[in-house]
Amino acid sequence: MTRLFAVFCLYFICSSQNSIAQDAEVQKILSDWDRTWVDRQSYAEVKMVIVTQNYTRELALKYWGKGKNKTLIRIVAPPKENGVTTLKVDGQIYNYLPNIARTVKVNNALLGKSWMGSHFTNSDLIRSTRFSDDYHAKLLKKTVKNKAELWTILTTAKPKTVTPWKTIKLIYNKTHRLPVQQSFYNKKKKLVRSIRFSKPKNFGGKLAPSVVVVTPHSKKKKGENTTMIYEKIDRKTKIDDEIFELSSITNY
Amino acid sequence: MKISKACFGFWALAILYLTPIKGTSAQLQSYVATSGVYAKNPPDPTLFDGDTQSLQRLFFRQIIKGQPIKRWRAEFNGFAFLQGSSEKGTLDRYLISNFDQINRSSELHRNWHESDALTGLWAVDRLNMRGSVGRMQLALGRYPIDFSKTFIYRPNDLFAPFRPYQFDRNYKAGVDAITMSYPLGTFNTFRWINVAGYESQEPEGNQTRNKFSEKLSSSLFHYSDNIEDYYLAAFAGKHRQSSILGVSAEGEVAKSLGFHMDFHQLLPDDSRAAYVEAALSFDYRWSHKSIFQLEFYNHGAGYNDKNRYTELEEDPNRPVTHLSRRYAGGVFTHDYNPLTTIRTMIQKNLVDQSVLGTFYIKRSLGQASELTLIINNSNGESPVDSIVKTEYGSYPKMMSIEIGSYF
Repeated sequence: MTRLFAVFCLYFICSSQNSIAQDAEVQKILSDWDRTWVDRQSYAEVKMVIVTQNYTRELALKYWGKGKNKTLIRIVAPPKENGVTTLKVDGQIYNYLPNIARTVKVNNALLGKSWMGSHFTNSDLIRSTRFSDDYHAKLLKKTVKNKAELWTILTTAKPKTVTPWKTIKLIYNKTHRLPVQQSFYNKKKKLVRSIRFSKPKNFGGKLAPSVVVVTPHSKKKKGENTTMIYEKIDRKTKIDDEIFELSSITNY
Repeated sequence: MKISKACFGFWALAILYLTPIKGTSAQLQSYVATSGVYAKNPPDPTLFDGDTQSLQRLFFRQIIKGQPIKRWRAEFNGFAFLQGSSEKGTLDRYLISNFDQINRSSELHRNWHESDALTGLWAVDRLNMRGSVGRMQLALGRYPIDFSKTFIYRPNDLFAPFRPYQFDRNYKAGVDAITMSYPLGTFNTFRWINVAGYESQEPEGNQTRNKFSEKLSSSLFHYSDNIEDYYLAAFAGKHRQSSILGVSAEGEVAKSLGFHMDFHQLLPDDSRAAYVEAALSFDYRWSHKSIFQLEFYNHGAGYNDKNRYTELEEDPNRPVTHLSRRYAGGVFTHDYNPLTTIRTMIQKNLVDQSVLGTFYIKRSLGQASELTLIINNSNGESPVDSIVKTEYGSYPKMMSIEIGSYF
């Protein structure tokens, strides 16, 4: 009896240790995921191709990110939208419309709104939330595909997190430490859209997917998608804090 | 006048000469459009020559942006158009928004063609340099200035404002100014804004003319900040021949319910009484595609008696954008799809009960072209012998269509 109890305790301790180590690994994955394109700081040049049932259009963007809370996106093409800028600092979001010289505060109600007619939302583009800070996570399963270990993680938004997405499922390539897929679910737990990451490239000494495709899953939007192609990521050139100031974006 | 010529000559040379030399960061953007307007006039032959009139216009806008010097950006934005109309002149006050010349030198505005059927005009909307010296940011030249946070009635849009009947607000006109900005943090900025004023002179042939006027110039201090989830700004100083004190604000008061506010008080330097201009706006969004805005406007410079509108029109110190004291307006905007925006706006003059309704639809035609249709329907007592009986009753009923392309 004593021996049986000792075996049970040993099993319990080992499985607890294993679970703690696994939770730590999940947290590390979330943290890595958050820092895939923006670590301490980065500048990126991105092409966005929007395909809908009605039209196809292309945008060219410049993207600056610093730390957790600072993001600036500026459209450089097409000419019609040239100079339109979105700034997010500490959860506050502003749009700048250069043609009418107006800054507009973006309310939280607009976080789920489509960004410039694409299938990305304002929330996606400005990184309004971070998995490592704003979501609870649970490992669902581990699989192996093409010699790569894939971890499927279910994340649920913490109660105070302001986000249009309460449940997101992540698939992560643990072998190469790269995101593979993100699936977004609505309140009825129905798959609403997914984002697929592919074609990893070495950007400034760090491997990151260069192509991101978001696909909506509603019947009304069959065949639609938006592709974001990272053409350049610079993680080394120093980015001044000044460019994330509201007064600076109006000087473009 | 010589000073203003030299000043603008300098900026024109700076942009047109330096940008091609440095070259690498210059951006060119053009817009060409053709439009047609059909209007049914109020039945007052002293104001309008015929019952109906039509206008056709060919419009071109050129924008050049560049970075000729490190940390300094230059911008040129000019337009030219040629228009033919069945009744020359009478539609202009409803259609042309960029000719508020109080804060724009007439040196950058030319009537280049005038014949029985056609009018040709060019003007420079923006010509400026912006940059920084240490933490101090400077903007010099002609560029837009807008303190307003509301949509229909914009009392804090003090310089070259959008007209109330101007629905398609693609570009905001610039004014001649110097601004020094000092950011005190990410969202809080202190600004000192000086805007040149110009006094009208006798026209030279077809050319409107004005000259620099100290008394019509403005000098304002402006401070803006983001406190909690609200944008707040305050400004004070001299606005033309008055002292001014104002506030702008915007934010979200409840989920999906936004608010916007403009307020200022003007204290004229002469014997005129002080007055308040204020607009309060609420917007409600649903389904990320639709927004409804409701606005109330107290126009302190206007009258509570419609029989006194003429006094306001004759007062040179009060540029007329509205006539009465109180207004209400509503706008419903629906993004039918990312290519098509539909907007309906109703403005009501609460003093004379006249109404202006506008329907607007904008449809993108491919990557860089768009089609805009605007229908204005005014309702109210028509003017008699040039005397305005109701504000919107003196507006023509209009339909306009424009096809434009960016390249």
